[in-house]
Amino acid sequence: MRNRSQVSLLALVRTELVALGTVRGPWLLVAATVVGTAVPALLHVLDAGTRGAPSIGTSGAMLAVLDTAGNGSRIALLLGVLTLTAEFRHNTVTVLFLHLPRRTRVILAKAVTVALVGAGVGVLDLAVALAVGLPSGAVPWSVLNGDIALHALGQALIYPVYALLGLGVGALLIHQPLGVVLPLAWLLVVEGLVLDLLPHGTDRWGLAGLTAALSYAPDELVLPILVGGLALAGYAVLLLSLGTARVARRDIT
Amino acid sequence: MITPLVGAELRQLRKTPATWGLLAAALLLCLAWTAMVLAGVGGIESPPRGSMRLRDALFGASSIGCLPVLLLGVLAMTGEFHYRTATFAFLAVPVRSRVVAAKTVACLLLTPLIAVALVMVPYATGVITGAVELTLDRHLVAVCLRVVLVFACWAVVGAGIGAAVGNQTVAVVLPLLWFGVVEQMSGAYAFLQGLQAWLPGGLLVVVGGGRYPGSLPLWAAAAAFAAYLFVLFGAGLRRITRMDVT
Amino acid sequence: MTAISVQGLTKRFGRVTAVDDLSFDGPSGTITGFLGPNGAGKTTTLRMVLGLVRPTAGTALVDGVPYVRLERPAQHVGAVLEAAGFHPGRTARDHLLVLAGRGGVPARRVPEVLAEVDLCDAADRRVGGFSLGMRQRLALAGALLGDPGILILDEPANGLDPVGVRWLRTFLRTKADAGCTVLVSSHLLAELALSADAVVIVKAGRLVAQGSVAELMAGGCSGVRVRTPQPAELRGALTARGVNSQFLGADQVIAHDVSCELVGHVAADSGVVVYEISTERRALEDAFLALIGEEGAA
Repeated sequence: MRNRSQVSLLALVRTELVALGTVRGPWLLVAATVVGTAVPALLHVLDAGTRGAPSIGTSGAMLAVLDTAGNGSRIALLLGVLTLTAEFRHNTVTVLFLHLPRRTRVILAKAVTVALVGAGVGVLDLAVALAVGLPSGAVPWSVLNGDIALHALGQALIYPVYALLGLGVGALLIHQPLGVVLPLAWLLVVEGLVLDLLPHGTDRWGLAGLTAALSYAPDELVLPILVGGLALAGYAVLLLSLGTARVARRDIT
Repeated sequence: MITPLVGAELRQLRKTPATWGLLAAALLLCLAWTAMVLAGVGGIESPPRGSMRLRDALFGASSIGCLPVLLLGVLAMTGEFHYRTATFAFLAVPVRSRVVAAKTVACLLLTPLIAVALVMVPYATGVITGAVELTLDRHLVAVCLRVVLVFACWAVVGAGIGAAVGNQTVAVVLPLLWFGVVEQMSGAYAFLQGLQAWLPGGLLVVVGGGRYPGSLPLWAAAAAFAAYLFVLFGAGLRRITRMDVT
Repeated sequence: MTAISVQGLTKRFGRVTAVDDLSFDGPSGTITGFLGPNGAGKTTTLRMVLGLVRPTAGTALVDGVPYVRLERPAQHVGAVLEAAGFHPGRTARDHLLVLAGRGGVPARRVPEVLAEVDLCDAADRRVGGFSLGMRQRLALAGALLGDPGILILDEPANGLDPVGVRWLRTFLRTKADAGCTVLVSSHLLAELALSADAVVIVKAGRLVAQGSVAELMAGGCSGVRVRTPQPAELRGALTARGVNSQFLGADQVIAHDVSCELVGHVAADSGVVVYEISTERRALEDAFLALIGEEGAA
């Protein structure tokens, strides 16, 4: 039985998936993303053609429904935060680092895990949006082209990136309530306020601007999709690096 | 009996780093908003220097304090369960509803200080930078009182959510998502026209003196808001008085 | 071979020196008790050995290498540090499955260790509903997953009932006899006296004493205690034979530095009635308190 080599990253990721799957929280978060996609998508369909809302069959209605696929990205960010902060919250971090003393590897395994889960949830929510849009005619098969597909894919890709951002925040802050409040407050309130104070054009580099870029928002004020995606990924890498350094140096008392 | 309890809760709030963190965050956000307002002075559509509109815009910076005050209420109520000190709290005060009441009152007592600070700091900044004149009049007092009332409502909402939910992480996330996402979206759909007026955020706007198309009259908004609080605290008290503290 | 080696280990938290130039060894195949008053630095020391806390100075080696360099530490070292490190929403089985995955241990070990700690019946219950004793046994199960050759335990008997305490003592002894190295920190000195081969005693982060249990318990007040209705006669007979003795209450005499057999012969030769005769050994507790100074006990 004795195998003296390191536990493979694949095995660690598999274990992290088991760890996530054996508690209720992650399932509730996934359910929240599905609701957060399905309900707005349905509302857009019900609203179509009323009081200035784009009618079924227009690109406006189609984009409105497809855009709901990105609604759960904030929940994906929370999932990333909770994946690590829960270890500290429930004190399972002690036994985690006893079994896996190389903490960078632990963070790496969790990063791969949350990215995979995030991608899965993103695809799930895209499927939910299409499940509402296709039968209702809001998303007609006939207009599905490369641009639309790219737009839809971008909505799904936001999830793994946000999950990684969340993991980085969780590693930096460790304190669970703080770890969920700060990024949500940043996204919902603070970023807009801060960017308004900075020179014009800086807002393209904020989270909201880069998210719009990644989801291929057709706006000349938005960065190209590749730049936006790389910048978002860069933020995630930066946060993860800082967070990993913090966790690696931290005494587990 | 309730007064020493409230004193103890105020002491606890004072000694908790999160309280000061939230207040600092409120101040910083308020200053950022103030800077944004002052940076726009003289621009197109911006209030001119020395005008009442500019003065009101500076007073409006205090509205950013609603979120920290809401979270203060949540953290005050959920702290015992998060840090597992509920055993000690309920041993000392077995009538648990008193603990809930004392925590809520303690939060309420803090709100006037926070409200006045978040009204006066932007105003003082405007005066110091010469954007507005210092005028201590009835309008200023009315603004302060209105902000006190609004902050008190938000603090109580936070305390109610904390009592009803218990889990601190969930209790901070839920209102952020509700007020920051769900209520914002409800205003965007014609299908939900009229619903926004009945949601807590919409009611609080009216209670705070604001108006928007389709908003309820003040008396109806206050009554509906009171009903929400009744449900929140009812659920919270039921949960807390019946829970096993293991 | 030394399984656990601590050399010059020091840890400062700001201005507080929790561990100060501590050195000791845990030889293979032995049970070493790690004793000290509250706040002596025992837990900090164990956490430094296990790579959870960075030493300010010094080294701690497990099987000759720092813990963090072990490839699959769960198969070298099993540790129980606290009974609180569980997600309350996870079942005991799932908790161990996650640990097994992280430790590179086959999943089949999960039912084996659950049986070893007698938690099979509770395997599919959420840990949030476990008693303290059950959590402690679950923590032990986690430590045993990799079938390690070294066990490092901090207060493992905490929360165990007397049956569980005896089970633990027997279990550790069996492990040590099979070659396992055990380093156990405990306040149950009477228990340690029965099971430990050696003890390391620390106070205020510094080493106070180290040695076998027998060495530490030797010396000091020991002798032969006799319960008799004729204490004065017995004492007189012992004095006549040159044996130092003193009264212990109204019906007892303790004779110093003499064997039980000699006291028995003296009593018989003198016609003294004896109700009870026993050898008094210096308890580990007495030795411990004497070494740390009684005022050092928290």
